Amino acid sequence: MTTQAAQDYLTKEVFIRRSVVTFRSLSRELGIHVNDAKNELKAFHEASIYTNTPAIPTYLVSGEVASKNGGPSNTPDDYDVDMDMDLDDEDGPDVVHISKVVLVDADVLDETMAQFSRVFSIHVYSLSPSKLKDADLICASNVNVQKVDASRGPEFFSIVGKIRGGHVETRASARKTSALAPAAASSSKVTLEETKKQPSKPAPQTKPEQPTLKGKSSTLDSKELTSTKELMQKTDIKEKPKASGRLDWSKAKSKEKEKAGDKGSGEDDQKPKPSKPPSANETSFLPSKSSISNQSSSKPEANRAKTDSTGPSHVPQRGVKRKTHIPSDSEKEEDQVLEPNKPIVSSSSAKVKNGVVLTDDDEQDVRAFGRRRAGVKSGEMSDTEMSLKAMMDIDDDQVVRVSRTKKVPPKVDIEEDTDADIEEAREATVPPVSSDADDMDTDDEPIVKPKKRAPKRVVPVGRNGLKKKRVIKSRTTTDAKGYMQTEDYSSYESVEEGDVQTEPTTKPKGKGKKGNNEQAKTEEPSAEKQTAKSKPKVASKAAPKPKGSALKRGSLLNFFGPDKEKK
Amino acid sequence: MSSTSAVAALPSHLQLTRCTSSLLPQTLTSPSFIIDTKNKSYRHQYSNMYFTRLAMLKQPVMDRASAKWKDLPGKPVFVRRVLDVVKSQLCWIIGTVYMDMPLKPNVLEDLGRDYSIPPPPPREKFHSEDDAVMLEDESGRVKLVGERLHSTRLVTGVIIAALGMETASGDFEVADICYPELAPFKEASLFGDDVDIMDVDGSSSAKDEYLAIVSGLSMGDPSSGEAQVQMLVEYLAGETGGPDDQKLASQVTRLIIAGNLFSRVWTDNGDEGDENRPRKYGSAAQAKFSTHPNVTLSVHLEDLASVLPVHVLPGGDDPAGVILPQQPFPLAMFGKAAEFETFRCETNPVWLRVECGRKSKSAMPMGTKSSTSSSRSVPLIRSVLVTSGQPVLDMYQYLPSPPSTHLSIACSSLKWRHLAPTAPDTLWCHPFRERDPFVLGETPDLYIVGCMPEFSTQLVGGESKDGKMSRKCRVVLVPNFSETGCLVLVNLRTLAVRCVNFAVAGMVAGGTNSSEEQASDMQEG
Repeated sequence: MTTQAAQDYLTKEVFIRRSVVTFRSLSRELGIHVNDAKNELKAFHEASIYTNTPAIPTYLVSGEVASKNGGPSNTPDDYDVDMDMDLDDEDGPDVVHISKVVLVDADVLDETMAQFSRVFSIHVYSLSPSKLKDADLICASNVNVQKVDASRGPEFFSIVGKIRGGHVETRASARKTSALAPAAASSSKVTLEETKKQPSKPAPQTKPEQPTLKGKSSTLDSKELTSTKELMQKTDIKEKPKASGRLDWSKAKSKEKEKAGDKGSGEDDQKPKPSKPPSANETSFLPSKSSISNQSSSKPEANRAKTDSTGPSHVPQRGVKRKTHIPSDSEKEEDQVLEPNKPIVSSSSAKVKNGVVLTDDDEQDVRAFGRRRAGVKSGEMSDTEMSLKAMMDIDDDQVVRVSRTKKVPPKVDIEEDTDADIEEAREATVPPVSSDADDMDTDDEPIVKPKKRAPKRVVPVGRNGLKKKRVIKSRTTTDAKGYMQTEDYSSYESVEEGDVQTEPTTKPKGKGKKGNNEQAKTEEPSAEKQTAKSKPKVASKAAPKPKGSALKRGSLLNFFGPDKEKK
Repeated sequence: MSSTSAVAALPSHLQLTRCTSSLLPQTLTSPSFIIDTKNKSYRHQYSNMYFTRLAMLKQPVMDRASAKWKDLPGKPVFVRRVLDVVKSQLCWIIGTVYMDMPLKPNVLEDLGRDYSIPPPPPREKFHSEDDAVMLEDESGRVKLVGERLHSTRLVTGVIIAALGMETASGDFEVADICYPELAPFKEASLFGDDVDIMDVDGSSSAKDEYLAIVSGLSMGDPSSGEAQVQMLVEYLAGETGGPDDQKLASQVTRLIIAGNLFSRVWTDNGDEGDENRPRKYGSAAQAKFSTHPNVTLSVHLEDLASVLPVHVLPGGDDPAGVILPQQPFPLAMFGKAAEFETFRCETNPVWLRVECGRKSKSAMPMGTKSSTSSSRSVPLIRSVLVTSGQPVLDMYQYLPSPPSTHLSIACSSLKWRHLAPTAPDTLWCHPFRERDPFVLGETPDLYIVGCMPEFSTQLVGGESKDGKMSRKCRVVLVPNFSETGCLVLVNLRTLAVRCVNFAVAGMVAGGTNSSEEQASDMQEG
């Protein structure tokens, strides 16, 4: 009696998965009529009775109950009629047919059936590995039933035995929305696919050179390709490429870093474009661009390059134009822009040359940016790598985070540059002076903080240190004034007065300031003089100390600097 | 094992088609309980409702009273204003009943209450021996006294005519009382003969359309079992039982859920003093495998809505406004069930016009053969009035319980021609300004009251003018499903009523009724 399919399913569900199978879930699973499903359950149960592990049935009995409940409705009515004169007596006994549907455990089936005056039907409702303690357990299988019903649609109802009314209508609007929903979902899928595909392409890379080429081509091509390939690959490829892509990238990162020096610079070439060129052109753009690059989306970067050359355009066009136009227009402009910066950067040109390995079109662009970038700092390497990764992995979150963390320093650099430019107006090239003056400082320090503070700090430091020391040495009166920060100015004047006493202190100042104002060229000599003066006093070790003390007051001195100069 | 042998094989592939019924648009005369934005103001005084109610019902009462008392000796005269009653002269007056009940909740008492003491639990009944009946109209109020009142059960807000005379003390000694009685039926009886035949003979004809009503599913109530709900759904879908059950299920054309879909969201045990603290939503369902009653309910509703039209009314325990024309649930509450055009959220008191047996319908092309219309080609329109029971439960508090039952009150309500006479007094209701939608200008064929403690039904017939029995209104009190597992089926043609009880025996289920306990006892014994 039991079909093989039902047998298999029931065996699996009841004995292996130890779950409750109702006639409903069985019918949905096998696509058979509920009545057939009930029969299947019965047959399976009867077959399993004599086995070691019988399936425990739960029955459903429906039938008519002696119309005992007719009582309550009638008796009060009698009261009513007696009491209320207006009520009509004509209401005869109101017979209400009461039927009952009872879910019965097998143990009490006989007792339950005794309650019925007439039994319509008995059938096995469900089979379970053990006795059902809680009737609510039958609802557990409802989930699958719902799923099947929803997926198979109303046409399926007639097969299963679900009686659907012809007057049931679905809401037109609901259908629309439901139809729209998958569309939206599909669109979102597309974006996901793009992101997934891009990593998948570069993944196979073995040589570092390829990623650089692909990094660009993939970002450009990927968009063009994705639009076409979206349709092609929508199905299974997604997940696998994902995982592999990520893994490969992590490897790629390490490779890149390892091989950093030469080929890393080549990679740098691509990166620097978006972030750096703007810095050269306009300082104000820098923060925004860095943030955009942080987002690690290929589009913004591409846009950056575009903005330099031509106005923003559509993504696909961008790719095409880039190769053609950029070398002609943008390059020149960039080069022009770059040149003023070059003198500053000068040191790192060697790295840039390494990047030349790339294709011509890219090369030129890359080179121009690369120089600047590379020139600015060697520490930028990580940054460039980050942006490269960003280009390849558009949506990868990790890349984004990493880039931000590491991008902080570049911002500082930018600010430095801006500050430097501003300060240049006032005091020709102060930073070099500071660097020269503080031989102790490594090149790295100015990169991080010192540069900012150094220009402000160093100049005042030198002055302050000189003042204080002299005051201490020479006179006590100035001490009190010297300690008061507000009176510093006056003390400073007093120092000038002291100049008469001690010439060496005043000389450096006067020369330095005068040099700054009058001649930007005299930077080095003044610096040398300062260093020469500072050394004899404090010796080599003393240099840092004045800095520390100078930090506090340095800013103020800087502030008052111009006044002095006026004087 | 003898029992298992009783399990007979079921006929396979029993093809049944569900009977259909269509919902007709409301007529202009039937009041709408939708409160639109224009009327959403709460500024108006409730006195407007009393005025409009009296104005609306005065004429019917006057007609009936004058006809009833015109032949009385003594020629009682109608006094238009209550205060114009002349002493010791037989007359009759019309006005609104006001029950002055000392136990009735009083706002002033509430305000003056000592708040350091927890409020006394609400009384089951306001009724006491000290109750006084007043009759008031625009002019004033007069106290009614007399033996007649003892046998008459009145509640606040009813419009009556009282025959009697003023006593020396200024009270009005009542000799007789006249109600508006049943309003004319809403739907014209198309076939008078049919109406006579419709009487319940037990053997309902083969393919009559049924209307299913269930109430008080109380989803989320830990004491209510979901198993019964599951069985209910399967039964209505026509999957449960044998051919008989399935055939009956196929005749159910639509389902009305009359209130209390959800259980009350605060705990009832006030011992901890946190009875008013709302329970965390979903915590009630902790014991179950669903954490969210609404989700669970939506799944069932979707199952139901996919097979037959469903009307859902909010009830007193539901997350809806308590003010009486309860507005429909937002459709979005019910997830996928809302995708069905035929899943409708209704106002709490709602009028439905159901037509069954119409031949040509737009929904027919599904392939369902309209065997009903062919066998009984008589299209029939039934007007159905459904409430979730708050008016009846409120009126129940006014009346002494031995004589009065929920059923008698519901029937009286029809005769008073008012759905919720206690509405502004003790039943919260919207301050309508120019109308009183609860006035029953027409009598429905089927008056369904949900959320009742027990099932009962009665036919209420109007007095025939020509001595012949006229149509009757079927009053059905639908009990809470969570407590009784009761599904009520009403034959739309004959107005016969069937009950289907869903129960669980031999195992633990949330809602246990007596029979289950018996069964379990028997099992243990």
